[in-house]
Amino acid sequence: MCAQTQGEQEECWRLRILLSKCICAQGDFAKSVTLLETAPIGEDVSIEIRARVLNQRGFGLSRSGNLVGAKEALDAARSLETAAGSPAFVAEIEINRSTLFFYLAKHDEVETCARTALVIGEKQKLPMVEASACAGMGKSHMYRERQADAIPWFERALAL
Amino acid sequence: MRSELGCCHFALPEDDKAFEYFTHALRVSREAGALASVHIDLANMGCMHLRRSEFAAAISPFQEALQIARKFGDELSVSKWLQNLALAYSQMGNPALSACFQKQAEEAAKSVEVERARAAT
Repeated sequence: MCAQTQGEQEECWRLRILLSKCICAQGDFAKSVTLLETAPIGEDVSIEIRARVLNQRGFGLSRSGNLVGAKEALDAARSLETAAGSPAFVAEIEINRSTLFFYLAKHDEVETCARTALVIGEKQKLPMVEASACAGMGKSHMYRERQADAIPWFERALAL
Repeated sequence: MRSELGCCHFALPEDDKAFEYFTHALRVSREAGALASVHIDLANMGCMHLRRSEFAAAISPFQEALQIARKFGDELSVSKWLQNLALAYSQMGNPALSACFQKQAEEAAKSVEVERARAAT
């Protein structure tokens, strides 16, 4: 077997993350997690990629009902991210944390995470992040019976 | 997003707007093959039937939604769709089937609560 360069390994992990996201859209969250566990992440893979894998794993675990595993993965992604230091990626983690808090029925925390992501999305001009954050804001209102407050957030997300 | 907007209008209640969003959301999700959204959109349509007292018509969307949610192990959704099936059968005058779905719904909800408690520690 040929040894992969660091660049090739990282490209593989990026593609696995992308495929995992596609599988999530199809609804098979357990499979999306399994895909990220098929190979160990080597130490020579960058911190950013390791954090991205953990972030995606955390999302899949949240949606497949493994809330303990999701919390561990997202906490680990968050601590690694500090070293990676990309605001856009911080926002992605916060959006996935807001999903986790939604499943934990902690709607105040859903809002906190979504608001953090929203600030980054607006500042960095990242429409996808902004839209996801707006959706998170809307959900945090909706599940606290504030439907009228939620509607403008969802409409804003839809328009982005 | 259309699904969530539909839910907000449904709660207000602005049923015409809600129905419009739910129908659009379900069509888009089905076209995209996004099963993660399809089961939620189906359940929303089921809720609309319940609101309109079309209890028999609510069964099919909830059953399909339940099948998808079970396939992917989404216990939170499973518990909700089972509860709605219990309500539909109760309204249709079938207490035995209603109780059966209600029991399953409670078991699914319990497993969600156990997982939440584990994550909170």
